[in-house]
Amino acid sequence: MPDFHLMPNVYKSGEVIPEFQGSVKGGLTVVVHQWEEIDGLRALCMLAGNPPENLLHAVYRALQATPLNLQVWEMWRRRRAVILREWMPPTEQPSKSQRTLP
Amino acid sequence: MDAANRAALEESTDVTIEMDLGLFAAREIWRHQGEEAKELSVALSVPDPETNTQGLLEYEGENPGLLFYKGSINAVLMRGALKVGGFGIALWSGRGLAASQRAGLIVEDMRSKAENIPNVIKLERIDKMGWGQLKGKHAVILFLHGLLSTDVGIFDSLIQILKMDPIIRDRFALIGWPHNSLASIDTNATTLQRFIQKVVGLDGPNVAFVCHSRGGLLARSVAVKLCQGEQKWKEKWKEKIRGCVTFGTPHEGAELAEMPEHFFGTLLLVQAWRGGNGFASVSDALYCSKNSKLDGIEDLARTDAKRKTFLEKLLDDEGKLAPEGEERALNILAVGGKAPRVPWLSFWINKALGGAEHDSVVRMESSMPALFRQTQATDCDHFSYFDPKQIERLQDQVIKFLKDVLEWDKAKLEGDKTKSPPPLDLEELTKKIQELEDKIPETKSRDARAEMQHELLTMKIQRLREELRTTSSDAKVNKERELASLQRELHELHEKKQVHAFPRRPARSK
Repeated sequence: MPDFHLMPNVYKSGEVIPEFQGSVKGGLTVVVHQWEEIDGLRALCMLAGNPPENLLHAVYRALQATPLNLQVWEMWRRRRAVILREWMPPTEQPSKSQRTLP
Repeated sequence: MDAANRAALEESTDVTIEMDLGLFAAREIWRHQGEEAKELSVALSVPDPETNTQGLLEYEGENPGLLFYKGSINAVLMRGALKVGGFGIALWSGRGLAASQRAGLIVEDMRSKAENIPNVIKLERIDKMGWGQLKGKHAVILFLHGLLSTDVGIFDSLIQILKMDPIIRDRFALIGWPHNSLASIDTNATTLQRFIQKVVGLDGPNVAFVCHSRGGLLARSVAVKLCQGEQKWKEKWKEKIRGCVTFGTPHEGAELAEMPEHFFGTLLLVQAWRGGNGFASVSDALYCSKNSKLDGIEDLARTDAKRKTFLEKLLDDEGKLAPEGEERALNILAVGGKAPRVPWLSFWINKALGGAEHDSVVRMESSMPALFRQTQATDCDHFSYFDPKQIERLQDQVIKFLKDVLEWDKAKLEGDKTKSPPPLDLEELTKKIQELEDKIPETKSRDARAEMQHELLTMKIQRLREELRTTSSDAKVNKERELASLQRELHELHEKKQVHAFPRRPARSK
């Protein structure tokens, strides 16, 4: 289980973002403070949507959750990978081209 | 599945990949920042689907950052205001107090940080030297670093090899000059010209440059400036500035430099990914960019519709001073690299540089132009020219060039005439080696052990060299073999200490 000590900060459109000393208008901004937390963000972006819905909308919706817990997303991604590996017959396992980045 | 659903599915898949690539790049760069990682933060911005139907995000802030290209492992420097469509992934520096508390003199800060790296070779710096300090030296080799780096740490492997030669060690001065590489090359050249005039002077030793990247253009510019004075000084300086070895210098410009923010982003990204001593961290580089124009990058541009570029001016000036039939007065050995393929990164870099042969930053046709008389190709990326393995491969040619231009034989004769270097006390050295050999197994810290191992190998090499000077020819062969093996071991030790920029993926279980 990943060990994050800080929770990500989520800022609404136009809100002052201290990390940037500025703001982002037009959407939601989530700021993470440890590189390990990016794994959680990647998991969220990967798993949030239900095709064929617009993925950006789904990510936006997922980021609005309070509190935003990226650990859970990363855990879910890992569990999912393990379950898929254990339960899928070898012929149905995703091919190399279907896998995401390491 | 109907056509509309299929299109929506494809679009979603594209966005997933684009986001994943950007976040992956941000993660990898951040991961390699060591202690300074805590000064960074990464932000993902997603447009509000209800109120922002155009999907346009407007960034406006004071802290500089890297904004990752969508669908690419590449980045652009973000300063002030910027509009982005779709989504944005940014890496910001300056979280908390550390960056704002940092010394304003980032050049000094970077150098002192590099000096604190264990086993790094501490170079004397020309800006801290006074007149007469080079008295008795036959020649000066001046090391000039490239963009977003410093003079200490980068050239170590080459300096180590140069220092193995007793003549170079005793009769040549090896010095560096840390400078702000984001300032214009012309500004840097004017400052360096003053230091050379002050420290070396017209009656001082001859000068050669060893340069990485942008440092090569700085050396060319300084050579021109020194030779542009009055006729009588001009000829003297022409004789004094003997040559220049350049590693990955964009002699004919870098096309990405026409968009400095993009060049900065790409360079920083590859540099951060690659790691290594003497290069600026992401945090430092972003801090430098905060209050600085990017003149030092703009000078690398090949063409500019609005004005005459620095390179065009440099070529003109060099031409005016060149002997008949030559392009310039300065002798140059240009080394250019062809980067080996690296998973993920190579694809995007190739895309940015149009698939030409390059060292991940500079195309080979620019780092070793066809019109240059002395060029040497190698297979490494822009930040690996001074890796022990590369230097081992290039050392013969580089040393030969430096010896030729700096008239090494003459120095040898002068050295013989004055005094030979004092012989080493072999007994004392053997005692120290023994002590160290006993101490190593008792040391628990891995770092300390590695440092001691390094010291031990260096001392053993010194002892063997001394022994070789006095040994008969029969025993020489064995000692030379032993020396070669020790040198190899030392290189390996150095290599182990290099940052592993591209971590290997664990083997897949069957």
